Amino acid sequence: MVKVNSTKATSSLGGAVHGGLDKNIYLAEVPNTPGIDLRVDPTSPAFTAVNQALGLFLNPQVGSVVRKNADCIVSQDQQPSADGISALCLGPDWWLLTGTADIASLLRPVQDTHHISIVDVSAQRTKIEIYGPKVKEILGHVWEQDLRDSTFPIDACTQGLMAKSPVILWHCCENCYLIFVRSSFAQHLWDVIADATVEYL
Amino acid sequence: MSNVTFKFDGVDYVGQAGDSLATALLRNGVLHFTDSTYRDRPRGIMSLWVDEPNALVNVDSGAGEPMVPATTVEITEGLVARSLAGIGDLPDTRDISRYDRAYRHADVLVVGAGLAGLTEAKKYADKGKTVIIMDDQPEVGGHAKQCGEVIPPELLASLTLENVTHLQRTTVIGTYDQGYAVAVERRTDHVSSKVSTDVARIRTWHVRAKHTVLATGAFQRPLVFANNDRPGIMLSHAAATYVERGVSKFKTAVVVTVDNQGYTDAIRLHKSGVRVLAIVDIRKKLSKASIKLARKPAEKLGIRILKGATALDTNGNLDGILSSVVVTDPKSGLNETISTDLLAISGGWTPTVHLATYIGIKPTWSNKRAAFIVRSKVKSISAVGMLAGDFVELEPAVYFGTELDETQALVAFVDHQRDATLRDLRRAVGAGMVSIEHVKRYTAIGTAHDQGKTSGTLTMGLIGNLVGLALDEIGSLTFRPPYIAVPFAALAGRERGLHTEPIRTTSIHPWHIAAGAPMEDVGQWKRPWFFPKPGEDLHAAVLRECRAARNGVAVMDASTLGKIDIQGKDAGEFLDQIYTNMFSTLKVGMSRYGLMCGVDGMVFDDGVTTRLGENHWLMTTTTGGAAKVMDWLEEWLQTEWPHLEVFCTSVTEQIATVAIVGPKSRDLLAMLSPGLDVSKEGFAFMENKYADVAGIPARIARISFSGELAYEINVSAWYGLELWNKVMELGAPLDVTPYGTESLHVLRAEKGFVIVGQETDGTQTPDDLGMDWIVSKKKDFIGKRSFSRSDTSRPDRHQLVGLLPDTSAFVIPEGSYFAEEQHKGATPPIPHIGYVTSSYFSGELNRSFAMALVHNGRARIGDRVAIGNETAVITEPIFVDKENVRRDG
Repeated sequence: MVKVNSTKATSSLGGAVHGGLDKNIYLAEVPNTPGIDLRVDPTSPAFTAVNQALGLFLNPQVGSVVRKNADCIVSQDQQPSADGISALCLGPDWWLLTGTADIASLLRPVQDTHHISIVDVSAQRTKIEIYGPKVKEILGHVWEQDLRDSTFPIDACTQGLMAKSPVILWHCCENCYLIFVRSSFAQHLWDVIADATVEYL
Repeated sequence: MSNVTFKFDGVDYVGQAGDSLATALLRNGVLHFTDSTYRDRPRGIMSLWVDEPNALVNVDSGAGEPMVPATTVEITEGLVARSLAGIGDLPDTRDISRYDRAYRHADVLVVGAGLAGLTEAKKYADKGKTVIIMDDQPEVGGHAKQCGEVIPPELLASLTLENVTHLQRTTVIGTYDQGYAVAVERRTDHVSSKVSTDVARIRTWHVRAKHTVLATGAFQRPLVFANNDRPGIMLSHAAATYVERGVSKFKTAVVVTVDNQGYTDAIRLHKSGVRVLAIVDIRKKLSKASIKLARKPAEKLGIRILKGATALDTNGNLDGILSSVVVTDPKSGLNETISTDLLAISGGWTPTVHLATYIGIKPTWSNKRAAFIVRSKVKSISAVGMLAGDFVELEPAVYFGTELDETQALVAFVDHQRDATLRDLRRAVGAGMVSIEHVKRYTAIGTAHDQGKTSGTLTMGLIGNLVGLALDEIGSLTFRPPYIAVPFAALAGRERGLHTEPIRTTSIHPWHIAAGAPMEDVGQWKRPWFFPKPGEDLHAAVLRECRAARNGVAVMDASTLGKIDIQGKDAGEFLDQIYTNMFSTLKVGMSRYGLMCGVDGMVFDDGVTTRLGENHWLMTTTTGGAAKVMDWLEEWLQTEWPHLEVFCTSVTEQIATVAIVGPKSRDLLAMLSPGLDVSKEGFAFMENKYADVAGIPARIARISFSGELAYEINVSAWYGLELWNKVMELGAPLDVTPYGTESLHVLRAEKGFVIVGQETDGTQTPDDLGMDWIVSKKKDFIGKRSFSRSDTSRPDRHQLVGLLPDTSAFVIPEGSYFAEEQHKGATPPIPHIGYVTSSYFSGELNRSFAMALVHNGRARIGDRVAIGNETAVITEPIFVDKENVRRDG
C-alpha cells in the first residue's frame, strides 16, 4: 500500500471545506486516507484467520460497521489512535477496511494460506465528511435511502447512488456522516451537495 | 386584512392578503372571466380549487406559469396574470428560479389535512410513528374549515409534534407501489411575485411510507342542463364559500340540488346576506333525518323549496352573464323562470379517487352516496373521510340532469374545458360506443387541463342513462399521474446544466484544464480531445501530436481505462472462460490482450490483462465498458461458477496511468527511472516491471496502442498529477508532447487496432473484425457455441476492411454508407454494401484513410467503392508498420 509520504499527493477535492463546524452544516474532504477492500467468505476458515489477524470480529451483517480503537474523531480536536481499524460490511463477503493501522500488512500472511482478496483502494475513493444539525435534511436532498436513526443508526453503512455517483455512506456519529465517493465523481458530488446547503447556511 | 395590488388582463385590482386570484376577482365583481376554447362562450369561475374547468390564467410575473386555475393562484403584491381561452404559453426566457428535490421516509403518509386526515395523523403520531401529512391547499382544515367549522385544537397541536412533518401547499401528484408517493410543494409563489433563486420555488418530495392514508376529500359535481355554463353559475359549496369570504356581487341566488349539501349552502348564502329565492330539489321525499337537518331549517328561514324540480335552462344578459334560470318539473308541469344573480348547483360529491386508482384500487359505485368511493382492501393503504364515502347523510339522488331536446343538448355542457356537450355524448353512444374509455377518446371529455375532475362521474352517469346501464356496470375512468400539471423544471430539480449528469475526471484533469485542452465526452468522463498550441486547430494539433508519437515521444493520460483487480487460485481458469483467448498459461509479470464475447458470440469488450502474481491479475477494460464488464464478471461468478475461488474488485480510480509513446519513450523512461533496465532485451514487449518512477512507486507495462515503442506507467492516483508533471518536466529536452483522444484514435487506426464501440455495435464476431487469431480453438469460452450458428459462421458477413479515398485529402464522414463503384454519383435509392466506422487524416501517410464494415469485405479487397461522387479503394485494415517493427523502438 502506498503511504502518504510526500507532499506531492493530491486528492480529488484538494481538501475542500464548505460551511462551518458552528453552522448548520459543515462539509469537508478527508483526503488521502487509506482503504483496503477485503473479500472473504464469512463461512470459511479464512474468515477466522482474518479476524485473528485484524484482532477484531468482522460482522458479516451487510450494512454493519465494526471498529477497533477507532472512535469518531470527526470534528473533534483529537488525534486518532495509531492502530485503528473500521470495517464496513458492504456485501455478504465484502468489507471496506479503513483506519490508521497497516491493514494490508496484517492481512498479507492470511492470503498465503487462505482464499481472500486484499486490494488497496486508498485512491479509489475519497471521503467527504458532512456534519451539523441540518445534516439529515441536506442529505435528504440527494439521498433516496432512509436516514432516520431507527433504520440507519450510528455505525450503519450502505451503498447507493448519490447525485448519480456511486458512494458508500457511513453514519459515523451523532449528526455526522462520511461519504466515500469514487474519486472521479468527487467534484461533481461535492458541487451538488454544496448546492443543496444553500437554504441552510 | 391588508390590501394587495395585482394586475389582471392589464387592469389593476386590489384584493386582500390570503385571497386566491379567483376570490380577489369575484370580490372586484369580475364575473365574465374568459371565453371558452372552441365555442367562444362566456365563462366565469365555477369552483374553489383545482377542479376549476373555466378560470385558467397565465401568470406572467415571477417565474411565469402557463395554464393554472385562478382558484389556486394566491395573490401577492405585483402579481401579473391574464385570462386564457384554454391555451397558455411559456415565457421565452429561461426560468432561473430554483427548484429542488427531497427524499423522505416515514411510517405513515397522510394525504389531505381535512378533518379525516388530521384525525388519522393524530392517531398515528400519538403512537410515536413518524408521520408526514401533506395537503394541497393554503390552509389546513379542508371542507370543514371552509364551511366555518372549528378544527379541534388537539388535532392542530399534533401537527407540531417532533415526529410529524406537516406540509401545506403540497400536492401529492402520484402514488406508486411499495408506499412510494411523489408530491410538489409550492414554497414561494404565495410569498412574493418575484423570481426566487435562493429558495426553491417548488420542491418535489419523494416519500416512502409503510402506510398511506388517503384523505383526499371530494369535489362537488355540476348538473347538466341547457346553458349551464354561464358566468354566475357556480358549484354551491364554492358559491357559499366565496360569499362568506366577502364576495358581495350576488344579491339573489337559486340553489339547484340533488342532496342536502344544497340546503347547507343555501343557508350559508342566506346568512351571508344573499336572498335565496328558491331551493330546487329533484328529490320529492326525504328521510326524516334529512327533513330535520336540511329541509326544515331552510323552510324556517323562509326559503321557498321546489320539490321534485330541477334546472332546465338559463337566460343571460347581453354579455351572456346569468340573468335567470328556468326550472322544471315534467310531472307536475312546472315551468318557471326565476330571475337571479347566482345559480348555485349541488349535483352531489365526487370523491377524489385519483391517488387510489394510481395504485390499482378500483373505486366502487355507491347508490346511497351517488358516487364512486374508495374502500381499500390493501393493508398498507387506508381511505378515510369523503373519499371513503363519509357523506351518506347528505342523501343524494342519483341524478345528473333532466331530459333535453337536441337544441338544448347542444348547449348542455359536460366538460367545460373541452366544450363537450350532452349532444357529443349522444353522438358517441349513437356511434356504438359504450365503454367510458372509448367515449372519452371520442369526445375528448376528461382530457383537458383538469383531467375530468368535474366531468368524469357526470359523463359516466349520462352514458349510463343513454345506454341503460347502471353505473357499476359502466365502470370508472382510468386516471394517471400527475394529479395536477407540474412544471418540468420542478421534476428536474437541481439536475440542470452541469448538474444534469456526473462529470468524471482523472487525477491529472487539472493539468489538462490548465493546458487549455478542449474536452471530449467519453461516457461520463471528460477526456482531453487535443492540446492545441496557440493558433492551432484540431487538424494541426493532431498532426503535430501524431508526429511526436511516431518520431519522438508523446504522452497521454490513460487513467480512464476500466481496471479490475482479480484474485484467487481459479482466476486463470475464470479468465479463460471470459476471454476468447488463453490466459491461464500467461507468465507472472506478463500482459496479454484479450477479447471477450457475449453469449451470442459478438464482441463485448476488450483490453489488456496482466498477471501480477500467481493468483493475482489486473484486467483493463474499455473506458466506457468498465461497469458493464465488472457486472458481467460478477454475474458469471455468482450465478454460474460460484465454486471458483475468484474475487473481483474495481480499481479504476485507484490507479492513474500515464502512457509514454514513441521511439524516444525508452530514453524518457530511463530518465524518469534511472535504475531500471529499459533495454530491448531487459524489458520485453508485454512485460511489467515495478520501479520508482520520478520517485513514485510504479508498475510499468510495455504496451502499445499505436504500434510504437510505448510504456504505461501506473501509480496510485494520489500521485497521478505528480507523475504527469515529472514526465513533462524531465521530458522537456525530448520535447515530450501531450496528446488527446483524437490523436489516440488516429494512431490506433493507422495500425489497424479496433475500438470496441466504434468498430463494433454488438453485431460483430471476432472473425468479422479479422481477429480470428485471438479465438482459441482448444478451450471453451463464453460465446464459443454461437460461432457455429449458420448466420454467425457464414463467410459473407460484414467484415472490417480499410478504405483509401482516391482523393487523398477527402476524409469520409464517419457513419457514411457506400455502394459499389458503378453507383458513383447515382441518385438514391442505391444498394449499399457497407459503412465507415472510423475515418481520419493521417500525417504519417499524408492522406486520408478509413476503416469500414463491408458485406463480404475481405473478398472485395482491391475493389473500388462509391461514396457519393467520391471513390475509394478497399484495403487491408492496417496502414502503418504492417511488419510490427516499430514496437521495439
